[in-house]
Amino acid sequence: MLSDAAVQRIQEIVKEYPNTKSALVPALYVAQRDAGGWLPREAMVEVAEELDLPESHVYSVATFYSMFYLKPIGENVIQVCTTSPCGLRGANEIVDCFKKRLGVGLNETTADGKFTLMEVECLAACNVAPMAQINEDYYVNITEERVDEIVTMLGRGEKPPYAEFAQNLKGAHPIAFTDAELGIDVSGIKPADPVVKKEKPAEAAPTEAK
Amino acid sequence: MAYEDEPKIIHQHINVPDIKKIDVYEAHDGYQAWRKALSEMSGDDVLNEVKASGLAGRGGAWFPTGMKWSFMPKPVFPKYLVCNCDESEPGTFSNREIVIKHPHILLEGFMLGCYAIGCNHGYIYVRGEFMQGYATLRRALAEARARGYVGKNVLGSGFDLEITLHVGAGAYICGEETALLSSLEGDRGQPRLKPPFPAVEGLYAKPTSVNNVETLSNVPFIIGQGAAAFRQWGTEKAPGMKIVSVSGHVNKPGNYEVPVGTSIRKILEEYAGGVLGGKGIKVFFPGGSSTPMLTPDKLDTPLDPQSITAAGSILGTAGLCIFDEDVDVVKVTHRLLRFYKHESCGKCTPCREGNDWLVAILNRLAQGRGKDGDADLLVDMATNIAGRSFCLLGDAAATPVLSSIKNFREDYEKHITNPIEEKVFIPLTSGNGH
Repeated sequence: MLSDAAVQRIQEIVKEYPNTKSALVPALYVAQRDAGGWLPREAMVEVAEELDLPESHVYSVATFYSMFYLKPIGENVIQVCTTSPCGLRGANEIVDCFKKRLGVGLNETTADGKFTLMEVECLAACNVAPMAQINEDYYVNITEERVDEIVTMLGRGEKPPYAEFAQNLKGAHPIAFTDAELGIDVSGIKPADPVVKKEKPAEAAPTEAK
Repeated sequence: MAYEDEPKIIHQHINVPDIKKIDVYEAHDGYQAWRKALSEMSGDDVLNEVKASGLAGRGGAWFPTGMKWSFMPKPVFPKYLVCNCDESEPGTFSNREIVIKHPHILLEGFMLGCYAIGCNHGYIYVRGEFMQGYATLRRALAEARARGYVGKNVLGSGFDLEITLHVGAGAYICGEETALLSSLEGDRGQPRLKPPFPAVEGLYAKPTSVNNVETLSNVPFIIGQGAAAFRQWGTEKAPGMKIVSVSGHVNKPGNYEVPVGTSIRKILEEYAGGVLGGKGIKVFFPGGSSTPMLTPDKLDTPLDPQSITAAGSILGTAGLCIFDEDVDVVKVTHRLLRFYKHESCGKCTPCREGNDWLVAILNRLAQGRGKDGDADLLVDMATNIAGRSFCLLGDAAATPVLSSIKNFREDYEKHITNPIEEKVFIPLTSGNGH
């Protein structure tokens, strides 16, 4: 089930750690991307095999963290932060706007499978509240008009111009991507000059006690 | 002086266009401190300079950074430096701004930290939701590696350094340092018993120091300009600057880097533009939602750890959230407790079960269906969570309950519309005794 590219990326990540277990969370992101946005049981089993871990451990970790989805989810996942600081600035009203625009309630997916609406806890962006995480991007200072625009554009498969990533990562975590896929190219950067070690002035030899 | 013209440390160049690119960062003295350390300082020299600066943990604990580093036993290898970039305390958003706008200052501080403690492979734990922050750091790290600031034999100094970016996947508890280490090892993010402290047995059971993004981002300045320059700001006991995250009912929410000890009123009125709509303040928390709420008579308190403690709260992350006079304190507390209930990791009973019950009672209060004695019941339960849970999340959850009832008990009484004589919920224990 895991594609060769996914297995290759997992093996690349494993090299960064002294054991395979540490690579589990990144590997689950790779598997989730590979499976199209959620983690089917078979994908978890293959991650367990790939990392030589008990299946039960993989499942226990996958169920602990909120960013892994164990059931199919909408193409676009809209997560509005409603924790107190956002709540003070109209986050709940924005949730209502999304509900109305999409015709779904919280934790529900639209009939066409395009959108899932959720409420999440603090995303550390209280300065730009109300805000939401939608797929791989933060959308900040959301207004009622923006709700309509965001839904319309994402529904057409376009990214609103104020999204953080120019690329469409389809909601997958960037750790699941190679440098080349993310467009990270440092071939034009030349090494810096080496440092010249300055010897510390030798400490004065202790004078012999008389 | 306008905020823009005030001196700053981390924010000095944060708004320079393209400062996230290595050539722009270098054009603004970037990586000079790293070069200086490698060419003329030993690891101990770096550690001693940080110690002399009085830098203390900006993640909320305010523990002296140099002292934390010096606790690591010298002859044990490998050692690890882990950067805590799992920022998720409600009302706190200074780290996110650093990683998305100014990643190299964090990387340079991280490199200096590794050099100070003798770590050859460090990990930066980036919150799962910070996908843009992660991508920005990844690009910056690739640039730094291309320049030779990371890798084998860094700049010909003989020091080897690898840096790995690790990611979380959505769990507030992973900001707790031992839970973060569990998460980094590929386990559920649950806290570990202390002792042993991470300095002795941390990541992979090796000596480990876990330091916050803002703490490490101060280090290039300290090494570049010296401890005395850092000490020109702040208080004797807490030198330097602090990035204050102002949120809630204010005109200009945002991050403001100010000398430690600046008065809350000055930050609120001169920098954050005052309260929205010119209203009064009902309550505020000074250091993230886990710190006790304060009333507006405490607005003139200087924002330093000692003064905030004396005023009855904790400076914590300096996430200052303002609630205007129209808020309903019971509903505010209710929403905060929903957060802690959601984020409890489930490891220990007082926090897992206690938060569930606190929310259940606050639910009925928030709906105006409170019962007589509910405030006392909440206090009883909260005092049985605080100090009795495995890690500080339990204490954090008890805090808004206890501080709001202490200050606004009469508001709770207003939510009791259905007073009954007998108590439906009988507290399992009474008072604080064991």
